[in-house]
Amino acid sequence: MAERKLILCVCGAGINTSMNAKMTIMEHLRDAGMEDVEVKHAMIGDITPYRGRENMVVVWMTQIDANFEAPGVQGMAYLIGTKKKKRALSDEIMQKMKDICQE
Amino acid sequence: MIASILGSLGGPVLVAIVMFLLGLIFQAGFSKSIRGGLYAGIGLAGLFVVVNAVTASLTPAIQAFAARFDTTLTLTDVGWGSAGIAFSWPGLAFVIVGVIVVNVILVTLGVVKTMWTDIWSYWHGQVVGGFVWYTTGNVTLGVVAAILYLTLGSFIADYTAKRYQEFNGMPGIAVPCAVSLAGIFAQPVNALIEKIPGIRNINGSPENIRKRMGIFGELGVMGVVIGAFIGLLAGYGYAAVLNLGVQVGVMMVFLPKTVSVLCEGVIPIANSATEFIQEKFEDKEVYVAVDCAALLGHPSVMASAVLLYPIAVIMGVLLPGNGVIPIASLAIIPYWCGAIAPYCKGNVFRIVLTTMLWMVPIFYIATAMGDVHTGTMASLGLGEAASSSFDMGGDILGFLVHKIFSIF
Repeated sequence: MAERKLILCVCGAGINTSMNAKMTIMEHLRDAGMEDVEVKHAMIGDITPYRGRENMVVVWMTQIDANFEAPGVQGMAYLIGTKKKKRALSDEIMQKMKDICQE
Repeated sequence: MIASILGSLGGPVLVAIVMFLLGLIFQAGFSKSIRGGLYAGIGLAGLFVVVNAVTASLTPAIQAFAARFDTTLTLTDVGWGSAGIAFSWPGLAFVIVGVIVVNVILVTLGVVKTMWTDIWSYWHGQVVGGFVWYTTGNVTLGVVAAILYLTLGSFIADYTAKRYQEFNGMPGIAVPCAVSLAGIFAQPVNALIEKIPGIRNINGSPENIRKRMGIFGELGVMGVVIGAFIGLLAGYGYAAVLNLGVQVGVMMVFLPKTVSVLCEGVIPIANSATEFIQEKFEDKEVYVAVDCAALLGHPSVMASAVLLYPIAVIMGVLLPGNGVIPIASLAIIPYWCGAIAPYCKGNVFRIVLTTMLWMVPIFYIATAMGDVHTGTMASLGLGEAASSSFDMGGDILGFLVHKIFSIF
């Protein structure tokens, strides 16, 4: 069985910034009625166990780490963007999730 | 009078009420404000539990170790435990509103460009306010000190903004936390390194360093090792050594978790306040304040940090007259690296060297602030143990502001 869909929000401490993104994404998922996606937040130093996980989109609240080799987006809009930008970013994440789950 | 009533409620209840009211003021919505207030209270209560439980087992060990080797290392490092001060002291709400008012005025006048939107990070200033309140017994002085400290932060943010934006690829951001001072410190240090032949050519590969450190680059594992190490030095038996290791691991893993729950409560209210500030300056070229966690993405940052964890512990033991062996405060090291990295162009060797130099005064300030730190924590129900922390006990700007306000 394939692994559960996961959106991993990553920031420097895994405390505040990534939690902020996670809360906005969860709200978006709830509104869209998507209940099969898990959202987690984590510290950038602790994400090695997620390396190579399937069905995962990473939301980087830092620079994107290309070496991590996972589909990802830059998530700073969740912190400083307008509501419209936040929604567009959430849609982009959903689209990425759809893309990888079809492959 | 009002302050004494608020004080008698205790931090968790106080923060719940304050966050709920601020949520209403910034129009976060009724149910979001209630939930936010409750989670802030729950998170803070959890932080109290973790700090009290861990200091209860760690403090006797540190004192036994200090007595055995006749060292000055008698203070328990509670790290982010000091955030407990920020959300329990009576000035909390006044500082949040005060900083926003002062910031809106300064940005409107064009004195600063950084909007203080990162409400969460106000906690640094709140702790300074708490220290001043404890020392002077005056809430108003504490509030003024906190607002001054945080307002200075927006000047620091202005100064460092361009460099941070370019290095991290994040246009429009600024970091008003006091860790940005480490960046300003790094500027001349890096210029000096550039002039030294040989030294200026040294670098290190971030990827290799992190691979080699492996699981010891994770704070939970590192915490168990340091805890066991302190247990050994305290002369404990093997069972007590291992248990102390696990206890310190608890602090490293669960302290950030409790802070995260606290954040979950503060975030909706903070976001409403952010929108409130942003709406005021829609057509102006301004910087948006973000948490210093945004600076930790460059691979050189965490690579430098994992090297610095053991170095900091060794420095703590070797520096004469130092009172703090860094434990929970190791968690702040990545932030310093994040502030310093842009000025060292991501060169790991330089980041490590600069951070080591930067830490020397921090150790002594954290030591000097031990009494104030301990007293403030104790007066708010955060344990009687002799404590300090790098962040905020060792904060240079906080130290200066506290010194000035202690004159009154």
